[in-house]
Amino acid sequence: MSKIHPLFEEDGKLQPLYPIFAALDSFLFLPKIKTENAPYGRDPIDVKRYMSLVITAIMPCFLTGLYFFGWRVLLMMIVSYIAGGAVEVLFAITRKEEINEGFLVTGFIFPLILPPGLPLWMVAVGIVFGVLIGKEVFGGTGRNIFNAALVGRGFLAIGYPAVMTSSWVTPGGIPWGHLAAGISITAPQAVTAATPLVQARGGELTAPLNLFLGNIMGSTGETSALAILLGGCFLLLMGVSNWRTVLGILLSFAGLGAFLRGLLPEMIHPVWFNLLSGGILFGTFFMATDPVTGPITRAGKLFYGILIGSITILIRFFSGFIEGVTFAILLGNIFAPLIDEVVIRSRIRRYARER
Amino acid sequence: MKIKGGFLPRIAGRPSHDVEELPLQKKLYITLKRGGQAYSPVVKQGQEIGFGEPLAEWQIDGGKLSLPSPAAGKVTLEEKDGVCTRIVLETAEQYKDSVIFKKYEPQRITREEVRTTLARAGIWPFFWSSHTGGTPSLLDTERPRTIVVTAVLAEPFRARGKVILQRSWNQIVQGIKYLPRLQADYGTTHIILTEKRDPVARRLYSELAGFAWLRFNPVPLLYPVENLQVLEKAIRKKDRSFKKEDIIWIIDVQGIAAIGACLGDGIPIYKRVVALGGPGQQAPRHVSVRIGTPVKVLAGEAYNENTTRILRGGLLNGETIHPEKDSVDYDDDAFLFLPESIDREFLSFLRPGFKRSSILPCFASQITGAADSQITTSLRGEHRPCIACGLCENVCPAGLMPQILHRYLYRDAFDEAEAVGLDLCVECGLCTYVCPSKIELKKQFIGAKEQLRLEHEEAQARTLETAKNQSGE
Repeated sequence: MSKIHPLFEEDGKLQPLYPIFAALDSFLFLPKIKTENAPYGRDPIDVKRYMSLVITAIMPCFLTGLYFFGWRVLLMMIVSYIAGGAVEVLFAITRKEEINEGFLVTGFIFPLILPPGLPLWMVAVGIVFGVLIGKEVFGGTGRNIFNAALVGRGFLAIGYPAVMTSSWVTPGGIPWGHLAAGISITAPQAVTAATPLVQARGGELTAPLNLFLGNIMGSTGETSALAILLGGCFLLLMGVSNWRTVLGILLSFAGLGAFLRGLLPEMIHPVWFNLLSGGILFGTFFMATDPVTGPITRAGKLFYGILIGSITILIRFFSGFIEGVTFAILLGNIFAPLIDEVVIRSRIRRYARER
Repeated sequence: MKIKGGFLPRIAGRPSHDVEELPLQKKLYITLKRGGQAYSPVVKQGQEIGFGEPLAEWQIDGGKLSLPSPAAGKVTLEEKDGVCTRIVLETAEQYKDSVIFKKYEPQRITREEVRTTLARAGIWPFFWSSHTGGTPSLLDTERPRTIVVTAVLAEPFRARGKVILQRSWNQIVQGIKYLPRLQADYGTTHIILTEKRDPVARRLYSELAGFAWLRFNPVPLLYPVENLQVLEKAIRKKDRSFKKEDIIWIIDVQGIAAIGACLGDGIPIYKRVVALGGPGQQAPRHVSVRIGTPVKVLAGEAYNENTTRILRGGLLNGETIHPEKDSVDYDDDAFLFLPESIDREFLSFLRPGFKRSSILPCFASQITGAADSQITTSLRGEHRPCIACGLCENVCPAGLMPQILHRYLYRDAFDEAEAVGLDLCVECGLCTYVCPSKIELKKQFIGAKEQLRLEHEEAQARTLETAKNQSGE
């Protein structure tokens, strides 16, 4: 790396591409930056390790998606990384900042929350919109208000509702899933059969074992509760995701669901079905726990979770949408600064007493 | 007793229990600065001086504080810009160390005698007072309701309380008995220990069991329990009967040992037990060393300044020093040897990390229990915007939200930052240590506090002036 370094210096030939070089350089090697202020030794945790933990945690979901829906998932992932990465790099160059690791997670999560049969150009449009409007216009990772991947998904859900609700793929069976099928760039034939949530509206509940293992129709990464719990618990154990958010969502979601079922047993599904179907688990463990777009105060995270869980239930059963996780979390993102403000106000009173 | 937050970085190079006696050096270098205060010399160039005689003095409320000579010898004054900043003491065989103060029984000493003797023996500045926010005044009117003796110094790696206790047991027990002489009527002394089951703690219990004014407070071994403001707050919180005007003094076990040696045996402060630790130290250990000994002697022959940095103090608060120029001060109890960062590790963030230990259990050392031996002066990452992970809030011992403070200070909103407790920051450095985005929080907070202080002073001066003008009219 040191050999080609001069090319990217102040008067080097490739100077405008410096952020790409810097990102690659610091990605491969630990940067040679020394501490300038006490404490002179630092904890080894850094944003790269942090983000790589998140990616490790989502890996089981990616693999189950690959197994059930075939190599196309990998293709979607590549498209997402290339299209979204281009936007990120473009902005890093114009802003003269470093390329941020946060994108690696956004690009990884995005295909997993899309229907596996979606045309690839739509994946590209979605991620470009998500990264551009959801993140870059606010100043990049750490300054964004909305979860970029969810903004992209929300855009697709509103812009192309027909495709988004009919691009499901029947999951492959034992032993090879869809892996034996080979890759096809073109979208597979639209399947008329529906996801468990759609079927449930007709009164037909999918078997719990299928919901748990994931051989059902649904968004690429969200079908298998088992894989999500594996990764989600890993993140909780590592201390990367906050248990307050997770607990808040699951409790309010299950609680409100149970309460409403007591009132309207015909209309509301049982709690186990609510929890295992749709994107609620994936959203809980991997999307809502995104620290940047949630409240930044510790106490606020619980309220944030409760808000998201409740809104999800309400959207699912009292609106035209089949699933409400995307919009619930985006709404939660909007409310996060407000929740923070409330927490900060109460803290200010406490500090005043302490003085 | 509980403290909020806190965290103990597990790093390699913990000093062993042994305390090595280092021989008296031919030359001792005594810096005339203590507790941020410049002392003025009271000796002349070339003067021969006895052990324990004052080298320099500083006038405070109610008397003079002295720096006693750690050895007998011949004085050379070193000047910088016309001000004497350092005294070089040439020690020689013929000068003998001896007892120079009167010995007292704890029951037979007056308040006045305790104060003046401790001030002359260079021990008074070991006390910290919640009233002055620094060295207490020598006036008899300042009497603490509680004196806190802390034997838990958690920061890696300060001289361990247990090592000091074992080494200077008699002086410490003796020293504690003098404390009621300084306290207000019905005052108490709190001893801070790690846990009651500890054999050393138990021995202290049984030896001091008869004193009704003595309390024992076990605390968890977490940095920063030794922090003065944190301790003060915890003591006040534990006993709700404390009023705001009740004064708390804090002293560590080495200070108490010095009191015992001074009042009981007539010896002023002349030595310090210093912890030499850290991954850059070949033989992590404690040494007992004469004040003024050059750090070069402590570092040993093998020391190389290009590969190792020496910090005065522990990992979180230590400041870089130069072994050629610096020497052991009256208040020193630790030098940390931190390797300089040299190599750039390939794909460091993907490695299991058997030799890395973090606040998040995301390295393999979590399973093996290994200490962090890879820690260097490297930042171990890059500066990034805050990702709101909340680690700083979890560790903050003052119960603050450093991420919010940072957000306010990022846009220079000082008033908002003050409202969310900037002035309550105890400057422990933990938030900066754990930050994955490597934000220089401590530096930012200290700078902002200073700025706020200046603004307040200015505002005060302005109100005074307007008041004056109005009364003049």
